[in-house]
Amino acid sequence: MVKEVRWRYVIFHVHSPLSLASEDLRAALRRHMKAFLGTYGLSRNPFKLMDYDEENKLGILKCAHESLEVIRAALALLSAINGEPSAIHVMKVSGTYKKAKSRAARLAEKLKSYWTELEAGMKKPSQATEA
Amino acid sequence: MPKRRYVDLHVRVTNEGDAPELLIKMAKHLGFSLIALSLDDPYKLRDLKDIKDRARALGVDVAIRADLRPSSPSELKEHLRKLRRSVEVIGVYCRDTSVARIAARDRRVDVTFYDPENVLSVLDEGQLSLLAESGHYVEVNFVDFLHTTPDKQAKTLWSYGLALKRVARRGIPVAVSSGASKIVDMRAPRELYAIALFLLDEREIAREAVSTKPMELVRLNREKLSPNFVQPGVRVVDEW
Repeated sequence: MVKEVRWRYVIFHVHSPLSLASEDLRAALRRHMKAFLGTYGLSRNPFKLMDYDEENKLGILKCAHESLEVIRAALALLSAINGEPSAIHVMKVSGTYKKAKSRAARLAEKLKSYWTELEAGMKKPSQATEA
Repeated sequence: MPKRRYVDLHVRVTNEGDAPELLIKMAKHLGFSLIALSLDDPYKLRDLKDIKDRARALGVDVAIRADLRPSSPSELKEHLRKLRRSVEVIGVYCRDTSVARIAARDRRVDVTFYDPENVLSVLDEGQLSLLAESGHYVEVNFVDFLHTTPDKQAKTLWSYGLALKRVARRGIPVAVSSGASKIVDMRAPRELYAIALFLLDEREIAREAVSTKPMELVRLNREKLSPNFVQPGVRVVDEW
């Protein structure tokens, strides 16, 4: 039988100077998506935050296969979280949650070294010296 | 099938923004093969030329771009005369119709970009006819949609959506770039594609707007700047 909805699991990276808790991110995403898509848009393009690794700032978001590009555009248009300039970058898209989790774990390792340098660069000089 | 190569045709180096090295590293991280760097003051472009070699070592090709923001047609012509032979891409910010018309006619211009507030009035039928003849690119900067209120964002998306559909109908090439000066405003190629698709509703044009079209523009301009170039289709292959 053909599935009515094919789900996609979007692995994303939060680019923000803030250390966000899972609940903060969930609330920020809900607020942004509601503002961008509206009630009608959300009913057509449902999404759910499945997992968020606060240490590596990597998360997994579930959405319908047909909504993938809309969700990607909506995430790209997010420019601030809790008033701080931030961005969400989609790293990979997977068809199963299991595979998304294993890919996210591999990405976390890869990002650890590379991202530290980029994140240090985006901090204000005062923040950089404090760190 | 060869791997698609992505281009960000507009990354700005400003005093308030991040350092060029950081912007290049971020572009590499996001998956771009080529970025065009521009300075606020086009006459300081020589500073960027050393960066090209360092960027090549990182695996990113950098093109030098001049962004012109003239207040009058005569100012635009003066800048074009001075800069055309020294940069790979020239973009003109068309804040009003008089500058937009001259930019659309002039062969030395590569890309035109607009103020989101009045894109629909400047990019009218007359402007589209001129652009269709000259083949200049119409550029959308992603940063225009950021750091704004939801109402303003919605209006900007609507205006650009309408304008770009007109542009695509006329066969005018479109480029979707970040227009960012900070790494936090840069977006990955697939994210720029998602926005292009959102605005254009055409998968192929949206895909080309972040890959083949801007790549082709830079390739052609580099060919024109090479000493062997005579005219399109004619180049010096040997001398005796």
